[in-house]
Order: sequence, then structure tokens, then C-alpha cells
Amino acid sequence: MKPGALEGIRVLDFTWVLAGPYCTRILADLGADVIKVQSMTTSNGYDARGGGRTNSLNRNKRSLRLNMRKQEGRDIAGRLAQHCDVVIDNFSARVMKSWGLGYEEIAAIKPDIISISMSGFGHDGPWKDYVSYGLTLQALSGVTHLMSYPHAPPQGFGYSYADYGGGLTAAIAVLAALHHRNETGEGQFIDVSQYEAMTALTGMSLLQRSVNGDSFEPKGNLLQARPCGPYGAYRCKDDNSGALTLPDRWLAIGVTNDQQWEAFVSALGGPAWASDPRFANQELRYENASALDAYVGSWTRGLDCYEAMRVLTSAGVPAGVVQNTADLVHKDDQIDHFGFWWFDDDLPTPSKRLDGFPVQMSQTPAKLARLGPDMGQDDEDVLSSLLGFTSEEVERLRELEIVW
Amino acid sequence: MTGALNGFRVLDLTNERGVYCTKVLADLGADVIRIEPPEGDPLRNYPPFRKGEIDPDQSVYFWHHNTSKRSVVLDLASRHGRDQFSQLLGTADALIESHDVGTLAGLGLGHEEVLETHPALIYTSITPFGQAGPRAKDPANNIVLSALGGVMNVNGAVDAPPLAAFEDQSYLAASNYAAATTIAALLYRRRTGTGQFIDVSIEAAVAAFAHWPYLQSGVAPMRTGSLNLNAFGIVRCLDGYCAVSLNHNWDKHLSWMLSEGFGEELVGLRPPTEEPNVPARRANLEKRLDVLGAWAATKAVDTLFREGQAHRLTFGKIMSVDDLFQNPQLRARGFMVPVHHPELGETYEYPGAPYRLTRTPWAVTRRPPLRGEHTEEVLAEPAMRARANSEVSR
Repeated sequence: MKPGALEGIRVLDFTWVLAGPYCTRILADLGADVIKVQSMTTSNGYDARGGGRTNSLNRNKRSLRLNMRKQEGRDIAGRLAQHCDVVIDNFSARVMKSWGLGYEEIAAIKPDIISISMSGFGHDGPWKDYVSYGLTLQALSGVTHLMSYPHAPPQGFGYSYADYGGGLTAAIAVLAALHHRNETGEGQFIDVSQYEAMTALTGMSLLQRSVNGDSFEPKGNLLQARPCGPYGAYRCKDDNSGALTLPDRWLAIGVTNDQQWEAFVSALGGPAWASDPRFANQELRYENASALDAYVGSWTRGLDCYEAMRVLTSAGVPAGVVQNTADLVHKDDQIDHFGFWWFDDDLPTPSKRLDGFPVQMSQTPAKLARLGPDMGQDDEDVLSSLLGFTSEEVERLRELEIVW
Repeated sequence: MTGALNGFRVLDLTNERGVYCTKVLADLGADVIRIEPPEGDPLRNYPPFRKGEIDPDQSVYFWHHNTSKRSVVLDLASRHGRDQFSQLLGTADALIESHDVGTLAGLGLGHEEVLETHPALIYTSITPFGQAGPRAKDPANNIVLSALGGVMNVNGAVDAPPLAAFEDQSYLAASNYAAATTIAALLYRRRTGTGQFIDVSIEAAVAAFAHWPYLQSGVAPMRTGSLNLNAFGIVRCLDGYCAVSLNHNWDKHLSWMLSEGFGEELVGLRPPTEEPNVPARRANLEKRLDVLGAWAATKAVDTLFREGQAHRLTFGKIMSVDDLFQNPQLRARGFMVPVHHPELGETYEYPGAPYRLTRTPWAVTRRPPLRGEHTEEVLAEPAMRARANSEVSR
């Protein structure tokens, strides 16, 4: 069996909710030993709940309970940190320090430690103590405003995209720091403001504002700066099977040059409206997008979305069904072929699969090495192998509610 | 201070699908050499342009995606160009590209061939669907991949079309995954001396960012507008919109509203999580949103945001790009960084670091390069000269 790229790297993981665990999920998927610290004394987000959600978010990790409200719990955490390459949290600034697990404290004993803290807004600035969830960060980073239809109330992502983006961003920072440490022996502290991680993803808009003084305004699905069309979502035949909570089906079409436009018109059988002078070039198709969209929609409306997609893609026109997650599981032969799914019969869910990893590495493939652990599943393993505790000692610590 | 990836040399053959990946690596200190054809990188023709004037050295799109990189012009269609590229490969740690499947192979630069000659190289390809499979060669772009990957489906109002992720998010997601795995491969190579091929599927990267309750519940989430079933919504204030939590620190939140004469009808309302089914949960949240809407309508958005945060509620003002640009938190943190363009005599503020590595900070070490700006410099490097000479003497 091929090794993981991060084999031999150990992470002491104090993260909770979503952004932090998504970061450590990536590290675990790549083969790092991620020790997730949980406790019966905290809700720990929804990480504490067993079942499928834990399996998706916490697969490949180990779980250790430590009661951080007790000095002995904090002492054990401090000792464990010395056996780790990375310590990560997404608390506000004071928490780790108050536990004796701030960067300076750990680095005093283990100078090459990489300590990373993923706070909402960073450890300084007027908003440093502000509270946030992904949807808050979306709003504040300009995303919600930009992801809207013109002259309509703002929309944004319908879920906590900022958590995924933030988690992956933090993982990159950890990996870069590990590289530096390998080359120089130097560890460091990494401060990740999830707000800045999200804002970096709207960088293009900011640079436009900076250079040209011009602020992008919402344009629905149209591109901000590249006139072209048709570009958007077009309604197809409804799915009235009752399987979906919303029956409407859509096809995304993205015609971005004249060659694709020719192919598009030809694929539709050369309808008369395509020769309308309002659609004669990219700029005009963009300006007259509403009119164009109405015509395109009248074509798609009578077709099954997958059928319409095939007609266009086989003609060389970029098009893709707006798939829901059931579609991805049952209808997407390509993502299946790519190997995105991780299957395991022990999963307590009907699908018996997890959303896997979107990258195939030839020598160090990411893989499902174990399902998400129950809380405390690895108490003994971790404490005996790393700190030499006997099982009796671990049991005593449980009774004292330290391993708790 | 040097960057974390100091000394890591990357040859950059990406197009729009992967150009952000090499920016990520460059801003972290990697030596990224962008290879441009003699007529220039096509991305230089992407709008918007500085002052709206079409100029391949003034594409704001190109600028944003090519900070900290060097530019070398090579004609890969010619034998000579490919020889020079081959020599460059001998000095490089990684090659990152995002062309259609088979394009580089057609030039003798596919991953199988290259890795045979350079087994310690890390070769990363970013494509819409991966290298192989029934639809690997289907035409695709950002909106198409946002749709297929499952992220588009959950955004937008119920009575309007679903909304794709803003800007080139599918490319950014894939680029970030490509950067992460390329660095991971570098860590592995340091231990073992072995390079590898990294196959990034943009569709899969989007799916990796999607919301997956379907795998447990068997119910696929659909768009619900801005009212989120995890108890968030958007309210209209006097002068703007605010994202508000609808069940966070609720006792405190409700007391506050009551003290201002709103929320009587919400007293005793059960938590939405205790509703027996989704429609009931939605109705519960809509009721809260209605009341919050009436309350918010009496306030300026900045006031609601500030007061909400003072009450430890996860409120967030819906900021425009202009708001963002002037945002006091970003300004206090020095988020925007000045980048000087000597060729224009101008300095512009560029968006800054997604992370703060305290010892090896993120930095824009070079302004985006002019076409071929570093060709001579790179080809004159001792390692390159040695390779060129050894080829000549063979």
C-alpha cells in the first residue's frame, strides 16, 4: 500500500465546528496523524455527535479526550505537544495561552513547533473579538453582495462556503511552514484570519477597485469583466418525480468566444433568432443578455437537462447540469471514474460512501485509512504510545475526569 | 525575510484554470517561472484593463494572478524552445499546468514522458475532470464546473435561477488544492527523493467544497434563498443589508430586541432545531426573520452590525467591494499591500495575505512580470548555462 505524503507528521488538533476540522481533514487525508482533542465538557460543535457527519469531517483522525478545565488535562496536552509537529486551534486569541499552549510556551520546550491559530478576524484589529460563522464572513468579505442578482436582495452562498475555503487556505499555510521547517529547522506561529482567507478569494474585485476605482456590482451569473454570452443558468424540463424538494432543473451554459457561439448556434439547428443583430458579437450578446437568455431558455425548457448538456458538449460548447448532491452520487460517471468517492461498508449510512479527496497523487494517494472516531476512541493508544501511560493509568485519568 | 517556499522552483504552464495555484506558491516564496509563448500569455488579454485601455502589460486580471513570478518566453512549438524548456526542467522542482488533457503530451511534455527523464520532479495537472474517464475531454469552464460540482445548486432565491459561485471560484478551489498537494509532494520527496504526478479535477475540487448531508440523510439540499436552515438570514436596514443569526445566543438576542420594543411574538417560540421536520423548521425561522426584519428596518446597517457584535451575535454587514476596500479591520491589519509598477510610475494596493506566517511571511516579492522580462536572466543562470553547454558538447 502506498504511503501518505504526510506520513510521520503529527498534529495536535484543538479545532472545532467546521473550518478548523476541514483543515485538519485535509492533513489527515494526506497521511498525517491528526489527534483530535475533544471533551465531554464541551459541545465541541457538532463534532461530538457520532454517525455520518463525524465520518465525513473526521475520517482519518484519532480522538483523544482531555478535560482542559483541569490542570492535569492541560499538563497532558502540553506534554503531547512536544511529540507533535503542528498544534492547531480555532479559538479566540486568549484561549490557548490561558491553557499554557500558546506558541511561546510550547516553543520554549519544542523550538521547531508550528503553531497555527485560525480565528475569525485575526489576533489584532478593531474586530479581533468579533464572533463569526461562515455566513457572517461571507457577508463581510463582499461575497454575499457579489453573488446576487442585480436590483434584488443579496443572496450569497446557501451554505458556509467560507469554512471550506478557510480550511483549505490554512492547510496550505501549515504545509508551507512544514517545508520551511524541513529546510531550516525553524518552526513558527501562523495567524490565520478566516476573514482574510475569504477576502483573498475576492482579490480580483479588490484589485479592480484599487487600480481603476471601480467596484464590481452584482451581475447574477454574468461575468464581471468579460463580455460574452450566453452565460448563465437555463431552466430545463422539471423533475416531477417527487425525489427533489424543488422540481426545477437547470443547465449552466458558458459560451465565451465566437467559436463556441458558432458551435452553439449550429447545435441548436441554426434558429432564426441567432442571427438577430443584437447577438452579433460577444459585447452585444452580453449587453442583450436578457433577450438572449429568453431565447436560449425557450430551447432548454423543453429538454431534459442531461440531454441538453450532451447536445451542447458534443458540439464543443461548455455546458453542465446544475447538479445536486444526489446527481453527483448517482449520475456522474466522470467523478466516479476519477475516484472521488471513498467506499466503506462499515459506514452507518445507506450510501456507504464518503466525499473523498479531489486530487489523485500517483505515489502518495490520499485514502480512507479509518472512519471518523468515536469521541475518546484513541485515548489509550495515544496516551500509551506517546506518553507511556498504562491502561490502568488511563482508566484512573478517566475516573478523575481528566481524560474526559 | 524569505518566504516559506524559498528555493522551491516551479515552472508555470498554467492557463486561467490554474494560474492562481502558481500565484499561491510564488507569494509563499517559491521561485515561479511563468513560461510565455513569443506572442505573450493569452491571459494578458483578459479584462479588466487599467483605465479600460487594452494593453497586454496592463491587464488587472493578469496582474492579480501573477504576483511574485518571473516571466520567460519560450517557443514550445519549436525544437529549440523545447530544448531550452528541457534544460529548465532539469533545474526545477515542479511543473504545474492546466491545459486540456493531451495538450502537453502532444508537445512531448506530458507527465509520463517528463517524469521518466525527471523522476524527482513534481508534475501537477489541473483539468476540468481529471486526466481520464468518459467525459474527461468535455468542454467546460468556471460556471459549468461550479454547476456540475454541486456548489451552484444551493445558491440563490427559489424563484430565480441558481447562482454560480462568484468570480472564478471553481478555479480557485482547484488551484488551492493543487498548491496544497504540490507542497505535500515536496515534503514527501524530501524524505524519499521521489517525485510524482498530481492529477487535480476541478469538478472534484468543487464537490470537495460542497455540502454533503445527502450522504447521511438521502435528501439533497436545494437552494432556499438567503434564509439558511442553520438559522441565518439577511435583513434590510435603513441603508443596507445585514446577515443575522436567528438562533445564536438566542436568550440574549431576544432580550435585546424586547428591550427595544420588538420580538414579543417570539417569546416562547421553540428552537428551530426542535421542530419535527424541515417545513416546520423553515416556518419557525421565517417567523424570526420577519420580526428581525421589522426591527432592523429601524436601524442603520453599521449600527445593527456593531451592536450585534457587542452582544456577541454573529451579525455581519453585507459589504460591497467599496466597503471592503475601506474596511477598518483590513486596514488595521495592513491587509492591502503596496506594489510598485515602475514601468507606469504608479503604486497600487494589492490584496494581501490569506495567512500570516510570522517567520516567513507571505509577500508580493515582485510586481507581475512583463512578457519575457526574465528570459535572459534565467537562461544565464549558472545551472542553465551548464546544461546548455553540456547539450552543445554532446
